[in-house]
Amino acid sequence: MDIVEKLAILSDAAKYDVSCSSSGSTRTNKNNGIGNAESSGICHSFTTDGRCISLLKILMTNICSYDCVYCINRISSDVRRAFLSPSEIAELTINFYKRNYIEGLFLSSAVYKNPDYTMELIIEAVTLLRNAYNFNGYIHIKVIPGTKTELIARAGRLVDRMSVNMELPSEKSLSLLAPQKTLHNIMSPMSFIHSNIITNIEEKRIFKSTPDFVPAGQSTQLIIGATNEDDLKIIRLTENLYKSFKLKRVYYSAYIPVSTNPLLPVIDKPPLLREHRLYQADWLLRFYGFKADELLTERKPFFDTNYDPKTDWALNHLGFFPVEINTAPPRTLLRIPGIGHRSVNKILALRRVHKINSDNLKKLGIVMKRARHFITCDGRYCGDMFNDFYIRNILVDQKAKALTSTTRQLSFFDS
Amino acid sequence: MTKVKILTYDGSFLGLFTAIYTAYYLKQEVEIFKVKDEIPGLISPTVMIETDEFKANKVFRALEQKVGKIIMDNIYFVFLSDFNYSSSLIYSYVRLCFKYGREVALHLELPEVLTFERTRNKVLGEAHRMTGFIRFKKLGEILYAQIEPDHNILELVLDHFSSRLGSEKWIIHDKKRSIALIYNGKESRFVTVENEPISNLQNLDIYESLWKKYYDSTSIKERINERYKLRSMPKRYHKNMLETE
Repeated sequence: MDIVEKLAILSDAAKYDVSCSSSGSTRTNKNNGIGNAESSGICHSFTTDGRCISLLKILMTNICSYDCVYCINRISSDVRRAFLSPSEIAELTINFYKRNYIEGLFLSSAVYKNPDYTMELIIEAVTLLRNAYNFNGYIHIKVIPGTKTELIARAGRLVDRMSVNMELPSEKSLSLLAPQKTLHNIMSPMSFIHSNIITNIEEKRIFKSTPDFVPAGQSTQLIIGATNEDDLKIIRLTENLYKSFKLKRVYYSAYIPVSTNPLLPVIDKPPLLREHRLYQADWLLRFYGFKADELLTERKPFFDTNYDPKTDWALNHLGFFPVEINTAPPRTLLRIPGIGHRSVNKILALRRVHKINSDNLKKLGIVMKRARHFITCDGRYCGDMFNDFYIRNILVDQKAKALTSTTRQLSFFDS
Repeated sequence: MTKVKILTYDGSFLGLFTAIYTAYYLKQEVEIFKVKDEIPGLISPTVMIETDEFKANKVFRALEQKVGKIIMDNIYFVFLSDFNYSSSLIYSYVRLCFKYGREVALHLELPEVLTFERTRNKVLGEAHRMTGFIRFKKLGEILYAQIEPDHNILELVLDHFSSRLGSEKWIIHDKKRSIALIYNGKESRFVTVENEPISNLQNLDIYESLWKKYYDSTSIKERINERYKLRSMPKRYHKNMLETE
């Protein structure tokens, strides 16, 4: 099999991992090397599904000894298999990098023979890149669940980011769909990486020359819609991962049907709107000071299809509004639908020198379509009528409505 | 109706500041354009301003003292934009700088300040985009790239590529402006390019074929969304990018 064919198979197999970020690394470069890791992250291209291409995202191999039901590469699946050697991976990366196609490498793999064997090969590829090619660009590797900690420790000193995919949000779902994985062998590398990152930061404070350990932090991915967990369960889990393991990102991947196993739900389209709502909520947890339990409750454990989570929160807390733009503290401004961090900064700048009216707000680029119902400018209400039913009606997310009306999960009464 | 006077200058940064100097002493409304700009409704009298380093520096220094380095940088970024209104916008902004000092950036209620900020963001945004979208082709030992950006961002990507490809030799050629940035493995220089851009670039080497293959196989067909893609990667950039040309 020639390399073009191998790449086609192994990039096709890797594309369902949604992470593409290349940002946040602070690793110090080796002299005379090639490349660097930008703290801000760079998109080199965009796929026809609109996702950013930042890294060469491939599997080392899709030859797998596991049999996870939801996975296209499971041992029982009838797909073409390929394997890229460590030196092939290193050469591909360097040559793509020099031509400015990518920021670096995102290397993952099926479980080839056993977890340790797979991990050793991944480490060999990364070692080649860092030591033989003096590659300073971004490297993200996937930890194969079940790998011994010694190998994780070795890998952590070479790469920028590591991730262990949770895939399924509970032990029950795992044992149902991924019988060879356990919550324990997913959580224990996560916690190992976390404690090493902490130790590394402390050591660096004392000895500046201490080599970095996973300087861009760790992330994980959850598959949405393959099992029956509700949104509340998922964002509580997310919140917990951010809190206890200081994860940089939790990614959500709408389940795309890859097999017809009776254990899997029958759907004709991936639940993209649900995935979108989870990302919106994730954003609120990380940057807007929201708590999982503020966004959803046991009584209402799924996000509303009609409103984004922030608008939904606002509609259920109308007592908090309307907020006065000219005097509200930044934390309060951030809770207004249609106003984000950028808008808050502009508002804070302008109100130091000028009394803000609704015309100013429009020009600052604030989404007045949403925001106006929740604010006053110098005492004057900017919406039409501060009335629950009225605002609910006017703010229905039409785009989301269009998106859901074509899927058959929704009943006639949902709209 | 026209009481507006039009000043033009040679397109250099010093030229712009000379024009601003001149404008300050004219007791009438002034618009400033680069000579090559398209000037709308050519009815007003036009005066070509000769670049004068002394006058330019005088304005520049006074201004820098008044507003500091960050705002001076912003003015330069707006200068690099290719809108025909940029020079006049900078002139109005400079007047506001002398009026408000460093606080000028807070005055987002003023249309000039908003437009200034937006224009600056467009330039910096495109420069950031280009750090991703530039495609080098390997020609022997040299990496060669062609670009046609909306704004004159070539010098804004210099630091990025010289720290990243510090021991390589490379050229980034702005076809639209007939200028190129040449890096010889140690230092860089800007040159104007008279000859036709290198055109015979069709033959793909193995890594170029691999990249095209990679690009095609990494899309998820269940999630196709052309609108998303074009929003992030507008069509005008496609012709200089290997995977979409």
